[in-house]
Amino acid sequence: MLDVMSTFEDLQQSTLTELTRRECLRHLRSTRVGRIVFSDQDGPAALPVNYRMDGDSILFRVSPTSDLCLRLDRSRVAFEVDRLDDFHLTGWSVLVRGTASYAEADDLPEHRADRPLPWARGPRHTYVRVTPDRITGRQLIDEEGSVRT
Amino acid sequence: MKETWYPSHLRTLSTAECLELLATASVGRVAYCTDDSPVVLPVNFVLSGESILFRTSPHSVLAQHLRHGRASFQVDDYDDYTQSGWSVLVRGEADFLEYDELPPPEGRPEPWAEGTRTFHVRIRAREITGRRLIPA
Repeated sequence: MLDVMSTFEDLQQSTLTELTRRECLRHLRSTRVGRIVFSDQDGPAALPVNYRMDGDSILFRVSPTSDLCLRLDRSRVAFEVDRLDDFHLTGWSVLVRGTASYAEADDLPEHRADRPLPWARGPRHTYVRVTPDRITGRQLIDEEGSVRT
Repeated sequence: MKETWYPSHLRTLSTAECLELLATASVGRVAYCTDDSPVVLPVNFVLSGESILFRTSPHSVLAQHLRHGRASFQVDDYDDYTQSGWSVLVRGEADFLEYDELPPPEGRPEPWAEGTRTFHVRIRAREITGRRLIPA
């Protein structure tokens, strides 16, 4: 019985395809929360942040006294956004690899509305910019070639 | 718009709360280090005790890099409208499970994507932390 079920589940599996850079940027521009990935002495770590795109780079805010902040000064990082649906088993994900650095006031979007606004209470005065050098993405599509999320 | 409008409260979660939330999720993100930069990829998974289990292909970049040990696993859920949600981070070591180490069939991960994903990867937790963002 279990063998029959696992065969059935295999038939339900979705197909993984690559996204173009343009498609990746479209997803990055239409998403509000992503995960910043950095490494320290204990290995890699990922934390969610809400962010805005500024051209092709990612901008978010952190507290200047946080551990996260200390890890983002001219360091190699990754940034990830995704949307996956466990009912349809379809979705997409985008991975940005690049360098994080602190953004100065004169290096921010002119209009305040274009800057990231932290969700959490507390002073998050430090702007961090992730400048990408590689943007890649994948999507899981069903047998009709659709992504349902 | 003023920056101080309805900011949400950030609260630290206990390990028990983190495990409860991990048990409700089916997709998370595995993070590992490469020579160039850290990398993170979403996978569907199951929680087995305090370990994360998922499957990958033996030829994948994931399988090549996870051999080296340190890895982390992240799960979250957010609501844009109320600007609230939670996130859990599991930090630990990755290893590959032998067939006789696998949990009973109903407790094993089933990959969503097609292809031969015969490797069962386990991330054993050294540290589990989480936060909840509570709407104002």
